[in-house]
Amino acid sequence: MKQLLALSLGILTAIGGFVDIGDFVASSQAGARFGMSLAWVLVVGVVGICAYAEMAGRVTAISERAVFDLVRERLGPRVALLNLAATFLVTVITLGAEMGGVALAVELATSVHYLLWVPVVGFALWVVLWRLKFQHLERIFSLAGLALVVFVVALTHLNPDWSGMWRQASRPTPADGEDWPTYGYFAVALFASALTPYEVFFFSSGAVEDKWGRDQISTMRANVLIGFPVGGLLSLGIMATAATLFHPLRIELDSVGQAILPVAIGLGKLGLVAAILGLFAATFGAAMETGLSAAYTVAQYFGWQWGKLVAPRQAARFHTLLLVSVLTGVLLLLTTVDPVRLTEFMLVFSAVILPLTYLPILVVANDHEYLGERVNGPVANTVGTVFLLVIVVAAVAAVPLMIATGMGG
Amino acid sequence: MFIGFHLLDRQIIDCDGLLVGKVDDVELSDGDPPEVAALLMGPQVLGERMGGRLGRVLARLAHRLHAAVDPGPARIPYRDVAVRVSAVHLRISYRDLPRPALEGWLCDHVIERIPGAGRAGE
Repeated sequence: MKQLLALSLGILTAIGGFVDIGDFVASSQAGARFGMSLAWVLVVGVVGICAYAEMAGRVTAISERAVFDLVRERLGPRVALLNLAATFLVTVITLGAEMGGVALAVELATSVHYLLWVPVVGFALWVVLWRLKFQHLERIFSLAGLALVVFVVALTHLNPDWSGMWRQASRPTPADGEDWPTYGYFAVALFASALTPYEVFFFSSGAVEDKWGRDQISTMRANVLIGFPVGGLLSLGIMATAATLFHPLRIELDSVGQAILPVAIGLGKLGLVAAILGLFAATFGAAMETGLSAAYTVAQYFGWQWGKLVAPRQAARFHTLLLVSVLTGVLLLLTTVDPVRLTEFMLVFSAVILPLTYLPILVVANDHEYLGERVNGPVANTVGTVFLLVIVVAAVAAVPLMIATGMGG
Repeated sequence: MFIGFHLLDRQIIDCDGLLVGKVDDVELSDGDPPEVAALLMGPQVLGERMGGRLGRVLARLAHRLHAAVDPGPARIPYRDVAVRVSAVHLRISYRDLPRPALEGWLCDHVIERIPGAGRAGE
């Protein structure tokens, strides 16, 4: 019974933790502009994150080492240093975007301008990371993120045209009046939102600290293989509400307030409260994960002490990195850059660096020295290799598409 | 053992499970065939080993971080290595090694001044 409870808690956490500001922005924008015709990208992205998170979890459980820790051994110090620089940069931008999402959620609840909330959010985030009780908090925020299920509930109240949505989803072509490059740009952003690199770094570093072993592999698989797909359903729900309400009217979304409007229309005030709470929890949880991931990657490259098991004074470099990352995120937002715009940028640059994250995982997951007989089987390798090709295509296409379409126009 | 593949860039862990650093370079003995005499640590050694512009920048940056005198790289004699698996485990504690300059400075000037710096998480 206790095991069942732990298992379901893990799965629920994975579901709630799946959606962050990137998924929220990419799904709602894609739904408004293209209806459900980009839904297949979400499905593909979820299969990809499942395959690679399973590999990363297995590598960590058996070698007792976090993923980024192994990158330097396998790529060499020079390539790994360039990888680190790119990853750190994108992760800090992601952190800024997530904190922007938190501030926007608070603005929706209080009507006080989000820029005034940014320093408060930054301070609260840092306190949580400093006091290091984040493991429980991270779980609580992930569970509260489940409130985003209101999007799925609201969808059923909006009397959607189910057969029309199915028609859009089964014909993956641009909607009327849209062109292929714009379609491609949104496809890349949506793909990146499902595979954001910080997710695997956080996942595997957490597994090291929780001292996972071989026994935890089956639990990890259940969490990943059930939790992420159901989490993907939440993203699909967000896309479908936007597709139902905004797509027929040809309204383009450029704010978070618009994106939660379908819930208010479908379910009224209480639904709105749940949507704001869900958005707040999902982005705050993701902000903790990205802040930590930024510091993890640097510490793991140089071999510095990191993590929550020691006092901050024993991991001064790690804690300074955390502090600097949060501060950089705050300063980034205080330039008054639009958080939604920042999220779009973050998704494009995440797409560019995806191969740097996922190629080393595939390589190490095939290494007998680290994994013994638990190396990838034929299924994992086929899925992993096909995905790596898709990831490389997305990475190469990301910047040209961004420029050609003026960030989706 | 291929030093390049099985030793360089590995994580070094002390006898209490704390993280010490990476094998940034190794020192070889004069014998024939040469054997690994010690593990070397620190961004300066790493930069020198990497070479190129990137390596030089890293080494120079690391050099500047030292206070008055450059203490040289942290050196761990190979006899202090207990086991070498996916990481290099030492027989000794990190306290037996010189404190890294950056860690020391940040600890004394930043982290120690914030309330709660001595409390471990759970």
